[in-house]
Amino acid sequence: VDTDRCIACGMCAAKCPRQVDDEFNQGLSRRKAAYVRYPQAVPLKYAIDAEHCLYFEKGKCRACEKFCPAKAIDFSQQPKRYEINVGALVLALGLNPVDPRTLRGYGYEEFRNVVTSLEFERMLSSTGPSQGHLKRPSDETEPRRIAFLQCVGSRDLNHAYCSSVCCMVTIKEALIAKEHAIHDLDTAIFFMDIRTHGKEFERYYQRAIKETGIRFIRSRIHTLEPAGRDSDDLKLSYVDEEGRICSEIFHMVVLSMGLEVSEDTLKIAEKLGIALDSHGFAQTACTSPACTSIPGIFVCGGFSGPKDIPQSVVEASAASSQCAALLEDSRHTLTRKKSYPEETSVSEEPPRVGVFVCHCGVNIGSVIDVPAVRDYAKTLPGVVYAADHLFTCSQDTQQLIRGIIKDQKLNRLVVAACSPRTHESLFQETMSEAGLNRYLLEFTNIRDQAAWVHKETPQQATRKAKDLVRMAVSKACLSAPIEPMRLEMIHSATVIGGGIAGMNAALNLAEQGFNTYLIEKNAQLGGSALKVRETWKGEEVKAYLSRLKQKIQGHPNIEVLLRAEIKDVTGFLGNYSTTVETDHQTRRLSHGVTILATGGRPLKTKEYLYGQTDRVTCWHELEELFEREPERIEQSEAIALIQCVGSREPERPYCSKVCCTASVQKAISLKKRKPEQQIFVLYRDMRTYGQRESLYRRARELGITFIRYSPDDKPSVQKVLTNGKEKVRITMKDPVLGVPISIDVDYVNLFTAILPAEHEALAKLFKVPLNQDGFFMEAHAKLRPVDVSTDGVFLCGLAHYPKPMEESIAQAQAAAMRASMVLSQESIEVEPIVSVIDEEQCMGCGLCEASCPFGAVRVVKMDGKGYRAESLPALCKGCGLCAAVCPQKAIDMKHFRDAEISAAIQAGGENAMAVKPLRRPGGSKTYSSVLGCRMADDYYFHRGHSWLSLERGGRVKIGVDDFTVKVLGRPENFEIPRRGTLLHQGRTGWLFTRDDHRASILSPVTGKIFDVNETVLAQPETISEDPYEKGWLIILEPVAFAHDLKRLLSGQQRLRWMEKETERLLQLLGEEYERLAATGGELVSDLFGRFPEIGWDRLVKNFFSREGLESLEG
Amino acid sequence: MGECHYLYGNVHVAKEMEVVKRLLDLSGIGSDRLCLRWVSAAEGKLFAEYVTQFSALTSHLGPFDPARYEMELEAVETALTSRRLRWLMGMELSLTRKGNVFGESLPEERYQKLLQQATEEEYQSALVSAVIKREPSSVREIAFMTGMPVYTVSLRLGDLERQRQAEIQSYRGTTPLFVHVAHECLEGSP
Repeated sequence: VDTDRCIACGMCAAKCPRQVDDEFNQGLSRRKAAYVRYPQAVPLKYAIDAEHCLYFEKGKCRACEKFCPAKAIDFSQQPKRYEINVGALVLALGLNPVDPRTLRGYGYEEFRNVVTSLEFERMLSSTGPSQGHLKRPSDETEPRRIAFLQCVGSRDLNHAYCSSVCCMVTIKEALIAKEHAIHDLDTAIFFMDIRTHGKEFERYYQRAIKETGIRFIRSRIHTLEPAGRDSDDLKLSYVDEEGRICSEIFHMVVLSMGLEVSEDTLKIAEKLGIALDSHGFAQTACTSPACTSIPGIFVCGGFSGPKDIPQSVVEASAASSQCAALLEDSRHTLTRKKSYPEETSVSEEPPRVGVFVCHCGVNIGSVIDVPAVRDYAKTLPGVVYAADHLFTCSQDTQQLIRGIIKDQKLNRLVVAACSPRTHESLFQETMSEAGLNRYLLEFTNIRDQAAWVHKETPQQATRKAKDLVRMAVSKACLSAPIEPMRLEMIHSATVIGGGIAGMNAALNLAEQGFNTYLIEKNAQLGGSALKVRETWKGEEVKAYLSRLKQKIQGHPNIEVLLRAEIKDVTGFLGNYSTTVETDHQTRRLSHGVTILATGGRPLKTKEYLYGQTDRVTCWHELEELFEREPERIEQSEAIALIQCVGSREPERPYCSKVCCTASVQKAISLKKRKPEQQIFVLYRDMRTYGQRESLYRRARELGITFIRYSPDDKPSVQKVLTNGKEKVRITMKDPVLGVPISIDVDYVNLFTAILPAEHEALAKLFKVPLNQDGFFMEAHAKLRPVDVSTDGVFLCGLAHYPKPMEESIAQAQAAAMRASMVLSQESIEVEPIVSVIDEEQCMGCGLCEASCPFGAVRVVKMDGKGYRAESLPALCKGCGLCAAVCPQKAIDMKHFRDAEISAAIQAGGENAMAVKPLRRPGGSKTYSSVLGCRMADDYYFHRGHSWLSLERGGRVKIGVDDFTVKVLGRPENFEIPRRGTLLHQGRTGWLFTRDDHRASILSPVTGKIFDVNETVLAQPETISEDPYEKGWLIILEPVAFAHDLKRLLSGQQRLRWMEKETERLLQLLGEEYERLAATGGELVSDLFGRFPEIGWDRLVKNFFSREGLESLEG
Repeated sequence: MGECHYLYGNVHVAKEMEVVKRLLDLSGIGSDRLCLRWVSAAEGKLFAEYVTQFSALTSHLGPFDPARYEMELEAVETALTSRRLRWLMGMELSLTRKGNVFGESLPEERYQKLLQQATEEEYQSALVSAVIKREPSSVREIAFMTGMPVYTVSLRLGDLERQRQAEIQSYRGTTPLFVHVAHECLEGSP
């Protein structure tokens, strides 16, 4: 397929006769031989699978070629060979899941309802084979019980490492399965250790336990068999923690597959000659995690060990930082500057708006009627063109848009798609390329704001999408071009924290050619690493540190400031100014970016007798003790190491990540030093993730005893004397036997939680948020793990989260890389959305200057004009405060001018008004009549025969209706309460009196009396002549009009009601009066006057009283 | 509060919303049609909750017809853009905390009182203007149209006359009829 021509219309796939298993959906569904691998593919271009294409197989077909509207099918294409000269190579070869067919005992090939975690992932996906509906393969029914088996192809004989990610994958899949299930779903996870060691992972795990009812069973199943003859269900047999033999029946079993290096990757590695470790992963040192054994070849992602997304992203940046340092002199030598056509001036032209509505695949299209929105857009004023696309953001659509802008002479663009946060710049770029100013774009989010939040009500979502488009169009019509703004960039960096992370970040930046300040609060560099003896791979840390220090101190680009404290920070991306105080002096550093590497510290605990005896130590203290007094280790017989001290506790619900590996490593070194020494490791879940698992295995082989304890039943520690020797006795419950055991040891070493440094003040200065545990929060947990929400500030090391040295170093290098991407720009382009001041309108009052939080407006003296405000765009953040305070309305925000916002708001309200118009104020001139009783057309009626009309100022006028006048006749007097009295809807409002008779009339609405019609009071007969206009009685200020409105009648309703009322009246009068009362189809006037024998009370009770109404309603 | 991306920007907004709410109450539109809440981008749930609450409230209030409140809306807008209110709102921090050029600072309650009084007066003036912009009216007519006591109308008419924004146009019998005077804003401080 010619990718330049393909428009991804899908015709080839529709016409292709060949069906193939879809490998992206793990073979769970079928695709054609002409296909796109997955719907989000970039570029979105179809391809022909030569292995399955009928033409390639049998020399016949070419259906796709015939039907392709773009003439993009080219069967003569041949593979091409490229030769590229490069200075460095990055291997990001990834991992494959272990093939379940190679593993025995899991029944993957025998039982259809045994699937892998990746297959299950596709089943849960809305773009997957069952659109996210939970169905099991054998009979497409919804499973009610699912078992997840952990460590399938991990931590076994052939794969002696931990695949790191599967625990989280399984918890996530179990949670999503529960969400997708229509019925109650029982999920059970069979595991050995749950390894949720990443940032925020432990919280996720705890939530899964406590809130979702997922069952976690610490056991490896021994048998998996069909539940019965002809049954698709599966029976799992296992031994539970208490040693009981159990078996359970599940409808489906998900194998949580481990990851391994693929054969293809191994071939490449062999070709390149890089060293691999015993598991087949690329060998790297803890001190240089991105470097392979061959200089110039770097590695990132799964190929150097199983890892999750954030760590892969970190390593990707780390690998590129190594390339950037290596190739520093050739930076920018091959870059080409992008040039744009000159912008066409549009200010003189009437708006010609083009609207592009996006389906976003199924994201928008499955909820919103996109073609309807498109057609609606065409009807809007100013719109000359509207179209919809499957993926408006795809490259070919961008190409298309550029063409359309030219052909249709568009001068404004409205894109109704996803989030402007992610995609606005893309469309702005397209506009620039088409010669339009980028601020003539209006981007409206119909995905998040309509399709996603109103998934359940697609029609209303579509209506809202139309509203949003209408608002965007009306704003776009008023938008004006804005000149771009560039600010100077200071090409230097400040790294705060001189630990391993800070040092590596500084060194890499320096190697990349940027001046760097390295600020350390202590008197020497090194941080927490000063206490570490060796990495888990066995590298000497002291030697490494001194090499690193030497490099840093000898580097001309680095200035180290020791015993330094940050006092103040001002400025912004590219122009930071930081005040630093050292013992000699106070300095102001100018720098473009900042890296925060402030580190962490171990928790000082009070548990387990710590601080009360020198036999209980913490972290590296035991080692230091043995170094100081070597005789102690000679005399000792047993040592216990306790993990999770203060970690994974309710007040600190995170895993400190490094302690498991550190304790196992320490146990091994102690054991090696004195093999007869007994070593106990007390742990909760052994989290030796990745290749660290081999250490754990090693430790067990060496005879180190591992005892698991539960946080509800922590070991207790006390000092004892046995055989005259001072010992520490640990008492705990054996989790397997369930009986209390006690061990006497000479020393106890605690692995306490790792806390962030005290960096709250720094967080405030740089406006970087902290997470619940006090660690700095990254901009995106998965995709931007070293960025923070403040531009130009980056993050690495323990300040982000506890992590081993190799991960700290990788993150430091990644932070340096992200920082250098900013620093390598000549200047920074900033959003020119700033305030503009109309000099003619400004009167120089200075209110804007007084209110601006950023000092971005000031009042200056101008020749011949007195004082005028002046805006300083470099400082302006575009908050709009000055515009809001200006008494002259002389200030506007570019791209968000008052006029533009008002237009959008008005357009937004249009439809809301069209839904249910209230009656217009003012008198009504037209009437309808029922049996001779007139009813004003625009009035509201109450069932107590009073009416209401709307007045200015939200007030209402009320009176009695024509029926009252006809039935009760001419009033002698009205008794109306005084002004200010509160009347209640449906309760007596005023009295209608005639001779000795009185009728209390019910108020149609609740409100305060504002005015009374003096004319009617003086001449009550006015009411008989004109009950609806001159005969009004009271003006009320309603209290809860909208509420009262529900009990009022209008339109056809009021006529039907009146028909019933007159009918009721005639019935009440009986046959003898019926003819007399309604002559010629009309009710006679003054019914009571003519036939007093009917009875006043009877009339009042039936038609005007509360009881009368209630009896009707009841 | 205090966590605004624009430093103390939200303090200003909160204050301004108070004034707008007051004006909405004065105009009879009702302050419950306006809602200000602090929600960060990460608090989707909270946002949904607030919107649900607010839309429940507005649907209880029923649709709002701007045509019914044409004059009142005009008056609210005029009052909001009036120099007096903008100055009072814009200078709050300096008035109550830093003090004026003589170093006198205003106690918070006194400021609130002043602001409330100014809001009311500005609204009343604007409403009177709105009436006499439409047709020449007598004090009584203005009082009827605006729902204000005759005395208040006279006071506000006096204010407007002093600012040269209203004048007597003609007489109906002995009753003077007032009209609105449109003119450019004057140079200099208010």
